[in-house]
Amino acid sequence: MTSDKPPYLGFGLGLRPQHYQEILQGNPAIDWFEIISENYMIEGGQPLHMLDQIRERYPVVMHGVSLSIASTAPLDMDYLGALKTLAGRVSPKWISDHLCWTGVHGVNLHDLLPIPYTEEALDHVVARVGQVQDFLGRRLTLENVSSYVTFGQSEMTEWEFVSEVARRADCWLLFDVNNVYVSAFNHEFSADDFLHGVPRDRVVQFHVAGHSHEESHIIDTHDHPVCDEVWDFYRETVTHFGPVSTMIERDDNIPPLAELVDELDHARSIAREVLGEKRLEAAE
Amino acid sequence: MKSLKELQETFQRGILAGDDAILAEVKDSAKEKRNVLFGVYRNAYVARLAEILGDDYEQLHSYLGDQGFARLVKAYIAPIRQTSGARGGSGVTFPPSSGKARPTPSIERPPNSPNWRRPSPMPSTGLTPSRLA
Repeated sequence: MTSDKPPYLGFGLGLRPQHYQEILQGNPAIDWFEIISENYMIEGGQPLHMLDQIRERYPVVMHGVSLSIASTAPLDMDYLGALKTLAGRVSPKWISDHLCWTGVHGVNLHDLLPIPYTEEALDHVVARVGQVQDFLGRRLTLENVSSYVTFGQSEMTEWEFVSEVARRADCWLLFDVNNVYVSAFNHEFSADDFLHGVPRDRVVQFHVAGHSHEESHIIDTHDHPVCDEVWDFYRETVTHFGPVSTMIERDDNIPPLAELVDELDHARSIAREVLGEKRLEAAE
Repeated sequence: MKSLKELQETFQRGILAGDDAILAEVKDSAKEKRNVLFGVYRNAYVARLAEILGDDYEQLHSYLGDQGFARLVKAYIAPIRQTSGARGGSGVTFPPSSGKARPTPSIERPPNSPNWRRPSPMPSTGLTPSRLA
């Protein structure tokens, strides 16, 4: 199994169809792209054709939304087969998905559903990550999700759970800065406790995104620019972790590419300010 | 204490069938009641379904207008929410005249569909959850 820590890639964006042509015609200042795996798990067509061209110019990572690693339903081997086939074609720097479940009994609710932080759930997830990693022949990267409810039966904090999954399953972590901020607000824990509670050597990617504030709770919608509070937390995150591949996520109300590049430049400037040019260059 | 499997089944029934048993398993936050917080998942499901229908039947949406299309979506979702707590999630389909069967309630998108989207508090079709309720 491939176990080397993934390389530092710099500052990337989610690849969205609205931007295909602009990316190919303009070679914008974006270091790498993250694709939604499921949108390319097909045998042909325009999306794959565009992806083939883009991956000739930029490093690409794969980010899935349907692995359902915490589901008690059996692993979907057809899905995993298609994921592995796509990975063979794309040669991603890493493959990520979410630490969540998406349904049981053959249903995919297309949502990132929360897990009770129990020993039972931990054992279950660790075993499944092992199965997936064996099948893919590489380590998986798992992302913390935003959540809106907590379970009465939880026995540990989210960051304890996430850390134990990474340690016991020997996988990487995608630290979603916005998701930590959202869940910290919703469940009234300290985002700093989460930040300092996960193992630094496991984190290979950051996500930064916008959200919708509903007064009593925040919903992770990825349809707004990143807000100042999340940028502040990103600054703390970079200070704590050092150089980690960073990506801006936008999934709805997708603006022109130039606006996302501006946001990416803001992330880059924060990292440069916190870490210094030399440290960033050394990481590349 | 429920097993993980039982908890996930209860959670899923809470979203698909509106079964409130899940509320005994989750907690209020200091700022909000648990039914409102769990409602984020319920609303996201309905919103996503409405959005998918709006995307797939854009011309029909345009022809009927927001209110007419909202009524159609409501009529479509109602039998799903009544039956989809059952195992397997067997399908409600569009009538043959639509020329398109949809495996529900899993809301499968064709693999070459536009990007997967995050949960949204409001469907981009202009159909708000309250109008669908």
